Amino acid sequence: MYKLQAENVSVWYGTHQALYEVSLASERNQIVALIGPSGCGKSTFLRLFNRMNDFIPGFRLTGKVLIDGEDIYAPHVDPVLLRRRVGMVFQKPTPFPFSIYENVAYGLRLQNRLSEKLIRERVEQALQQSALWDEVKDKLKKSALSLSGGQQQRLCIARALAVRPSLILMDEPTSALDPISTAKIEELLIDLKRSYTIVIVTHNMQQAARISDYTAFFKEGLLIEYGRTKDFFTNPQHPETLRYITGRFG
Amino acid sequence: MPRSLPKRVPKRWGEATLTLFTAAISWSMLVALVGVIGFLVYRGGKVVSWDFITSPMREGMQAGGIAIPLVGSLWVATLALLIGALLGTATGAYLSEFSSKGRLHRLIELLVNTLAGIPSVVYGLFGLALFVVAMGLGASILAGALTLSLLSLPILIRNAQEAFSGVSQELKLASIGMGASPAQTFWRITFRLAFPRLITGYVLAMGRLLGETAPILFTVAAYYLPAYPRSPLEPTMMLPYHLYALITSGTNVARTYPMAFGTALVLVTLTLILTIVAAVLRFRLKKRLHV
Repeated sequence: MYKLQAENVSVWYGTHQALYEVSLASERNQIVALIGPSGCGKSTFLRLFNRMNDFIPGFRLTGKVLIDGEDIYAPHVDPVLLRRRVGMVFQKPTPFPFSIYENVAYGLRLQNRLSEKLIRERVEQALQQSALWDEVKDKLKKSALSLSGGQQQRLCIARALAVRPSLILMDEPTSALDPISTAKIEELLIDLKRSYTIVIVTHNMQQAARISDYTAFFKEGLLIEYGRTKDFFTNPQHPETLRYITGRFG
Repeated sequence: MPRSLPKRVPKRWGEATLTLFTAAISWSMLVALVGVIGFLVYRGGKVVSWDFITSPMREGMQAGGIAIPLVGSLWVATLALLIGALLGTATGAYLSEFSSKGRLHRLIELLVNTLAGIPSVVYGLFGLALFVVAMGLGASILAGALTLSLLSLPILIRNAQEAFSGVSQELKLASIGMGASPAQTFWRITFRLAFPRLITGYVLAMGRLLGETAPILFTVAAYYLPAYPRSPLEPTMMLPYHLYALITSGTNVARTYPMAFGTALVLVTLTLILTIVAAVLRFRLKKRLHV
């Protein structure tokens, strides 16, 4: 069974169609990169998997979006509970103006009362997984806003990991960061792949090539090409893909 | 040969005049404020003392202090603020966070704006008709507070609306993305982060409520009632109306005029203190939030 799967997905915002019959699937423990020029629908596609598009006025969808074989747009699915299983990291680091500890504990405190001991364990684990523990273990009570941009983004990753999601979505998570912080996060993602499935939108083709197992190329709402990353960049099947990855547009 | 940098252009006349003009106006505002307070201190400073503030009036308002109207004013304004803050914050939250920005939203906004434009004496009349007579509350602290809370609603609604929508959309989305329900996101992120601004608004509104005169005239304020209020269903003396009474109906002007200015000075000082408290609170609360 596929970890995530889209079947003939079309999306509209009002009268504007943002995606056209997209079908794509991935196994677990993979990194799937979504690339393409601005406005191509890659972010819309990403946000289908935690139903973050639901809030956009006029949003409408046909086709099926499945996680672990389950249709997440089925009427009985509670999008709030779905989002607890699907972590999300945004383009700009979005730490809450609370302490480092409370940031990571945020998702845990939303659930039925967990003991403080368990929360403390989970917070530490998540910070270790996101390779931030050594940097912050002595200042967990300090404001999350005192961290650097790269640390803040890793904190947001830790925050997402703390609730043990089964899928992690990332929307250009390194585009606001410097090269060193970017490298750290890329290393981290490759590490996380062992336990998680990750879908990442990126503007940076080198990044897609470095970290992903599969790459999907979107243009004007169409999925132009989807395949193993190493074939995708060395032997693209579609002329549009070749044009894009050789930098002729976008 | 390197090209030289462009020469600095001398400031244009228009720009200089505008700067001067706006600066002069800003400073004259400050002068006006200092002037008003200075005048009050000059005319009423002599009578203001701890005794003036803490003792009731004597000899038919010709001597003694303002303790009773002061307590009455605090009672009414506090109660009005409680009611207004509750309703105003709820409405502001709806407008900013929960409404679907459709027709109902626009209607409420229109109503709020209209409410803000109604003269305060009309509120007084409305309060008299609805709370005092129709609801049978009589001239009482509760009736006055309800009337004042209506008057404060537009400010408190706007305040809440701005406080809530001032919380970054990114953080609200991040919370939703973590699997928080809209209600959880509201309480844990939006309300929590808006709290300092909300409190500031409440305190400033309190300052304004203390000084309102017209809405309390027919709904609560007593001309002369030499006892502290014991229940919200009793009328009470209040500072603005007491001030009015001292100025307009005193038979011994030489004694009551200074007392009137003293009363005004206390009232203005109270408002000033509340303004400062608002600023300090906001700063303190924000610091506690790690903002």
